[in-house]
Amino acid sequence: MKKILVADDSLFMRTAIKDALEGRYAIVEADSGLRSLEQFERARPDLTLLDVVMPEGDETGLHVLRRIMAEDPAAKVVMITALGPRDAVVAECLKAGAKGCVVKPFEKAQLREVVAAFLG
Amino acid sequence: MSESQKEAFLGEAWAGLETMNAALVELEGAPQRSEPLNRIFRAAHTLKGMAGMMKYDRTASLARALEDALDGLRQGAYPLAGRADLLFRCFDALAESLRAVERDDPEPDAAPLIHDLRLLAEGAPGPSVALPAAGGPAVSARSETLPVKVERLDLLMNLAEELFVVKMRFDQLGRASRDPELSASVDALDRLVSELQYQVTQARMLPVKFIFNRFPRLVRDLAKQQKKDVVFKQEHGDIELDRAASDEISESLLHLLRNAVDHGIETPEERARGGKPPQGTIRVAAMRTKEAAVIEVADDGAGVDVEGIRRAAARRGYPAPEKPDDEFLSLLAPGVSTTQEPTAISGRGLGLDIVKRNMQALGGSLSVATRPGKGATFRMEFPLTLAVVKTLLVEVGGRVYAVPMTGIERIASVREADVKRVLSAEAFVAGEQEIPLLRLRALFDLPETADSPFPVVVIGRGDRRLGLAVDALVAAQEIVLKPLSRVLRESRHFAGSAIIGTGDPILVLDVGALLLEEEAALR
Repeated sequence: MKKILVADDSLFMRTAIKDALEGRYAIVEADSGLRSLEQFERARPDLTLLDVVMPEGDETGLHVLRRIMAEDPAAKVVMITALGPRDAVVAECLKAGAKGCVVKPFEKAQLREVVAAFLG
Repeated sequence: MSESQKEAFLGEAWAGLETMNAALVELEGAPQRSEPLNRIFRAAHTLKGMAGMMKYDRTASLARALEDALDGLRQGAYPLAGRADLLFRCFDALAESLRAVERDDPEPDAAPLIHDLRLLAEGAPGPSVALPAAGGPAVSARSETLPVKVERLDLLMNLAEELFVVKMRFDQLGRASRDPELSASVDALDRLVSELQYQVTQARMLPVKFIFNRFPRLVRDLAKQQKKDVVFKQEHGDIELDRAASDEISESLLHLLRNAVDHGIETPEERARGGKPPQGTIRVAAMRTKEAAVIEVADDGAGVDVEGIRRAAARRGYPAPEKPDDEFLSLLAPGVSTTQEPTAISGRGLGLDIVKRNMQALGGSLSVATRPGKGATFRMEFPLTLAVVKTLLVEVGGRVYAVPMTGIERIASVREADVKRVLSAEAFVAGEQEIPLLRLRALFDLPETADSPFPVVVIGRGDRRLGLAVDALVAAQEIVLKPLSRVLRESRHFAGSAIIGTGDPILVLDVGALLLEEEAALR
């Protein structure tokens, strides 16, 4: 089973994502930027769903993304955001190597589609 | 939507609303600061996103309109002055929506409010001075946490308590059988149950700031209603409280803060006449001493109206207090209030009585310091942990009562012939000291026995001593203290109740109250 890291400080969002994906993929969770990095190293997920606005010191979504990409340039990271695809921060994330972004609110089916597109 | 998702939604949404309320009060006091505004904005943004995911469309629309209005504020499209009420109303409407979600009712219609928020957001072109832009990334020290239903924690606590009761039964069996193997097992069980109880108690700890956060809004609204200008300050000192105490603390704070706004802080005009700054300050602070938690509510208002209390006490037939210490005893007596015509807000001055009873239920105390014209400080002090108390079980009239070990000085055996009688009071001599004697049989209206000598438990605090005459000493035992039910709180003599090894409920004597009563009787 393919492994997905869900990195979001909101339990609500992690629950929503898990509800959509559980059973199809193995889910690993992280509730802060720092722990996202730890979990990424430990679990080596096939795909990371990363919240853009995650407060923990400097480890915002963009910082986490950059450090993941530095660690593994082939990593597949999809940003989760309520900011909208044209937001400057989201654009910055895409430039830094994120493979795409899912805009909140989203339907479970939409999320499954996006994930399937990357993991087959 | 799964039930767990709804639970997670409600948990985060309520926390977000509390953040918004507290931050907007802060912003009202310091409109030039961008940090509280950013906090409100983030919370509104998150709420919008979550409500959208849950398909609570009306809630999402309202949160979205709020977000836009806040963005306008952030861009300097309008000043906060005069508009804060609309934002507060919006928070209230969001709370209404969450309550509807909790009950599975349809969400209320917020269209008019959304309309108002739109007008605000699109309001007249703002002043040229824009608010500072959002600062750097927010810093928050989140730990790996997960919301747990309070009922579930209570259930765990109850199970741990029941286990403790069963353990006490094993203790008794172990002692009775004198079987070394059984004793060793009971000892092991003892350690495990103690550890379990400690951990469950820790899991129920609640940061005091969660309690404090409920009040900035209340103080603001009350002050506004009474045309008073009040700044509310809080120092939570990272103190955590047992959740079992949080209801009592919340209720007490509510009364103390209402009193502070209502009776403490004067109107700006009165303050100006007294040579004070027009804005009053109310401060709540949580601290800890070695074994107790302390919460203080201090205001820089008029102080407690001691003369008014004397008159109020006299009107209701309380003895006119003569000594300064007594002023506060009567201040705290039920039914005495300084308000001539009670306002809708402070009720009839029963507030302090409730605070005092709440403190008693927690095994704590309430004290007051006041300076006329300068302000008053109300201090609540209570044990940090409420769970297990070492007690001595005593028997009176065929019933078992518990006396907390911390209040016991020594045990004596007194012969009837050694009891001195002075007027209606009794005393006995132990060592160099003459110690007043209180027969619990008399206290509980039971007939006296002719037993002599009889056991006496000497309780003390400070330099006060009191001997409690009982029928028999039963055993030293740890008990799990529970607050008294409302009915029993009416009784002055008990601090709580507990279930002991035999499964019987027992009452725990209130050492502090008995000592106070004895002292009052001596006057």
